[in-house]
Amino acid sequence: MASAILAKRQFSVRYLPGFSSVAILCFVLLYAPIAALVVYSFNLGTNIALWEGFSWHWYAVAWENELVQEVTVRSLVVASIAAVSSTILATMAALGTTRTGDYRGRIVIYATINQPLMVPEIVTGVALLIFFAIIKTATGYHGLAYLIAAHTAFCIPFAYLPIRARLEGMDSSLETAAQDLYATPMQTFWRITLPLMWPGILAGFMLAFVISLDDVVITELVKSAGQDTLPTYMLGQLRRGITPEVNAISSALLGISILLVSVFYVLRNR
Amino acid sequence: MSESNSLTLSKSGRAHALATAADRKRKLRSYFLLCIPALLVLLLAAAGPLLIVLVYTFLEAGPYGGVVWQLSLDGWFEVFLKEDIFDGTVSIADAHLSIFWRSVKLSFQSTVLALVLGFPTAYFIATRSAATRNLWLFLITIPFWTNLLIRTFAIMQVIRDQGIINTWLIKFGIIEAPIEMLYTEFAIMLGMTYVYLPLMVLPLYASIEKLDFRLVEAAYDLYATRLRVLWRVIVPLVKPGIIAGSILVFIPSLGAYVTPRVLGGGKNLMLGNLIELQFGQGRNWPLGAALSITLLFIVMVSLLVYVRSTQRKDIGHG
Amino acid sequence: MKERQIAVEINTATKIFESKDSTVTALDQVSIEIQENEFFTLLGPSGCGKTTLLRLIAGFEHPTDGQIRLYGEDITFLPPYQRSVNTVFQNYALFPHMTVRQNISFGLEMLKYPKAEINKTVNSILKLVRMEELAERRTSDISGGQQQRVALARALAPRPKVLLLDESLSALDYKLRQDMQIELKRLQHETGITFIFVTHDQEEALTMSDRMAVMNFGQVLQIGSPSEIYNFPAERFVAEFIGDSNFLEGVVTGRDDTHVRIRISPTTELQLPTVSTVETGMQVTLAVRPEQATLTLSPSEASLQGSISNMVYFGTHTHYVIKLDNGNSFTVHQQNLSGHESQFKTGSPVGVQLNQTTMQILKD
Repeated sequence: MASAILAKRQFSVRYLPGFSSVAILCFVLLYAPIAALVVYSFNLGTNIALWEGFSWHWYAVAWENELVQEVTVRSLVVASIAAVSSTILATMAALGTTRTGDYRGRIVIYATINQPLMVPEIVTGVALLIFFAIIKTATGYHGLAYLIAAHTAFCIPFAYLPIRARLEGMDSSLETAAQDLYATPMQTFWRITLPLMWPGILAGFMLAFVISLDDVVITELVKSAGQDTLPTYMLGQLRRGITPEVNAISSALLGISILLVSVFYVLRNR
Repeated sequence: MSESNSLTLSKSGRAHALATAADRKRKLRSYFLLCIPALLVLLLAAAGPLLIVLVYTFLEAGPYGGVVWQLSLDGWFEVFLKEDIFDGTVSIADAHLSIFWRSVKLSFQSTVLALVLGFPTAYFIATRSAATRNLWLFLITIPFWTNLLIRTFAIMQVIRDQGIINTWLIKFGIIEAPIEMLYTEFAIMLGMTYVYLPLMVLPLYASIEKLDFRLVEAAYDLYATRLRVLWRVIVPLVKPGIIAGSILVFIPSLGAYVTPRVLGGGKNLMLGNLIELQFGQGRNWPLGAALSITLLFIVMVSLLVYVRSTQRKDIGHG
Repeated sequence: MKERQIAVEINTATKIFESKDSTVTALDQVSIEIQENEFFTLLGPSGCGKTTLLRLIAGFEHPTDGQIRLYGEDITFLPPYQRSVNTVFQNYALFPHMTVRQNISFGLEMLKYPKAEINKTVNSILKLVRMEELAERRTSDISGGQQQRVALARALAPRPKVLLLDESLSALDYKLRQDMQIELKRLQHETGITFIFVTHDQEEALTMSDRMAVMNFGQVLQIGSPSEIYNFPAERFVAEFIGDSNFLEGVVTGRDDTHVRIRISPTTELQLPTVSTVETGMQVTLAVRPEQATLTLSPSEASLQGSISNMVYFGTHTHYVIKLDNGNSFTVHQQNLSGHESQFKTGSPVGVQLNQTTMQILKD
C-alpha cells in the first residue's frame, strides 16, 4: 500500500505549478546583485567585473581616504543623535497613545506620527529645504542641527512602531499588580513598564539608526555645503562611475545594516 | 453623567463622581503631554513645512533660486504649460508631460513586474512549514532594510556595459558588443522593481497566510483545475493583499529619486528628479513646489484607494 | 460565636461605568461587612459586579458613591499602593522579567523592608507554598499550578490585612483545582489573613467559604453561610444559581402562628412553617430541592402527580424528570438504596412526595 502512494505523486492542495521556481528565482535575483557587490569589493583589480584575486586593498583605500572618514563620522554622529532622540520621543508618544483608553484626537496623533511614511521623501525634502532656507537667512546658522532635526523627525515613526507593538502586547495587569504590591506609579514605571518595553525600545532604536544611516533624498536636499553624509558622498562619487572603493564602502555599510536588522529581529521575536 | 444617574446618587456621591471624572481628565492630559514632544518635532521638521511648500507655489521665482514675495500663478501654470520666450504663445509643456507620463508608466510597469514575481514568492513563503516560514520572511525583509542606494548600485554593476552580464556574455562569445541596458527606461523600471519588491511580497504574504485552504480543497472537489482554482478562488480571496502590495510599490516608485538618477543617467528624468532640478540648476522654486504638491496629491489619492480597499476587506470578514 | 472585628466594610458602594454611548451600573448600593479571619466568597455569574467590587477593595477603581473601610479606616480613594490589601490576579500577572524569588520579594522591597528581613520572609513563604526548589526559576518556566502558588506567595508575602482572589482557580484543570482548594484553606488557616474570593463556580463557593454573598446585576441578593444559602435561598435567582431547584406556584390560603397553608393545585394544599412575609391571598413561589422530594408508586397519596418522562442513572442515585399532570416538569434526585428503584420506568405514573419542612417560600 505504501508503495502505491509513493509511486504516484501525492495530491497537495497547496501546490501550484511553477510557483516554487519563480519564488526561488526571486530570492536569487534579490541576493545575486548584492552578493556580487560584496564579492567584487574584495577584487584586487580595478575592473569590477573581472576577478583578479582576493584582496582587502579597496577597504584599505577607503579607510585611509580622509574624505570618507569625514563623511562616515558625520553619518554616525547624525544617525546616533537622531536615533537616540527619535527613540526617546517615540517611547513617550507610545506610552501616551497606548496607556489610556480611546480619546478624541488620538487618530490625529497617529496620522501625525506616521506622516513621514506617507509623504514621498522628495516632497518632505523639498519642504524642509524651503523651511530651513528661511530659518538660515533669519538666524545665519548653517550647522548640522538642521540635518539632525530632519532625521529625528522621519525616524520617529520607525522607532514608534515596534515600541507601540511591544506596549500593546504587554499585559496591563502587570502594572496593576505592581501597584497592588505597594509600588508607586513612578516605581511601577521603572521596575515593571520600562524593563518590559526595553526590547521594543532597543528594536525601535536599531530601526531608527538604520533608517537615518541609509537616508539619501532628504539629506541631499537639506544639507548645507560640506555636510555630506556617507550615502550622499557615494551618490556624488557616481559621476566618476562606480569605483571598487565605493564598492568596499557599500559592502561595509551593508554589513552594518544586516547586523542591526538581524538584532532587531531577534529582539522582536523574544 | 446622565440625569437619571445623578438623581440616584447622594450629594457626596456626586462629589465623588466629579472627583473621579476630574482625575480621569487629568490622567488623559498627562498622557497627551507625553505625545507633545514627538508631535512638535514632526510638525516642525516634517508636516508643518508642507504648508510652506503650498504657499511657495503661489509666489514668484527669484532670479537665483528662492522666491520673490509676490503673488503669482506661474508655478502652477508651468506645471502643464509653457510660454514661448520669443512670441509669447502658450503651449502644452510637453517636456513636463512626458516626464509625468514616464513616471506613471514606469511605476505601473514596475508594479506589474513586482506582482508577477512577488505573488508566487509570497505564496511560496505562506505555504512553507511554520518553522521555516519566518526564515524566508526574514530573507525578504533584509534587503528592504538595507541601503536603497547600495542596492541600486548593485543593480547598476550587473547591467552596465562593463558589468557582470555583459562581461560574461562577451567572454563566452555569445555577444560581441555589450548590450546597452544602463541609462535606459528599462534600467529604471528594473531597478525600481528590484528595490521595492519586498513591499509587494509582505502584504501579499499577510493575505495568503490567512487564506483558508479548505476553500481551495472545496474548489478541487468541485472539479476545478489548478489554473481555475488560482483564478477563481485564490486570487479573489487575496485581492486585498494584491491591492495593498501594488499601491505600496506604486507610491514610492512614483516619487522615486535615487533609482532614476543612478540608473537613468540624467536623461530619463522622473518626477522626483524634475522636482529636485527646480531647486538646483532650474532655480524655479515655485514650479518645484507646485510639482511637489501635485505629486503629493497623486500619492494621497492612491493612499485613499488603499485605505478604502483594506476597510472593505474588514467588512467582508466581519 | 465570639465577637470578631470587621475587616472590610463596604457601605452602599455604587459604581457606574460611563462611555460615549452607554452607561453601565456595575454595582448598585452594595453593602457588605466582612469579618476578620473570614474566608468570604463573592459568587455570581459573569458581569454581576463581583470583580468590580474586588477592584474597588483593591483600589484599582474608585466607587461612584459609597465608602469602603478597612478596619474602620476610610480607604475609598486611597491608591492601591497605599492600602494593605493584596490581590491574586485571575491570570496571575507574574512579572515575566523576574525570577520566582524576585516576584515574591517585590512587595516587600516596595515597602522598604531591610534586606535580611525580606530574605527571611521570602524563604518562609516559599516553604509555606512548597516552592523552595524553584525559587530561582523564571516565572515563564514553571507550570500553571506552580505559577498559581507563586502568585499566592507574592500576594501573601507583605502580610496584607486582606487577600483578594479574583477567579484565581479558574485557569487550572479539575484535579489541580481541587488540590488548590485544599491548599487555599490551609494557607488561610495558617496565616490568619482575611480572604475575599471571587468565583462564578457555586461548588467552589459552597465548599470553601465561611460566608458568601450571592450577586447578580450589581446587587447583593443574599449573604450567609453556605448551608444557609443552600437551604434557605431568599430569591428565585439564588435558588436557581446554587444547586438545582424545582419551582411551584401557589396561593396563600391561610396563616396562623405556626403554619402557612398554600394551595398549589385545586386538590393539593401544603402546610409549611410560618413566615412573616406572607399574607393570605398572596401569590408565592415555592422552591424544592430535587433531593428533598421522593417518588412513590401510589400517586393518589402524594402532593403531585405525573409520569416519568426521563431518567438518568448515576450509580449512587438516579435523576428522574417527572412530567406533572399540569404540564410542568419536576426533577427528583433519589438515592438508590434498596434496589427497588427498578420499579420506576419511563412512562410509569408516579407521585411526588414533598418534605414540607425543607421547602422555601420565595419573594416574587
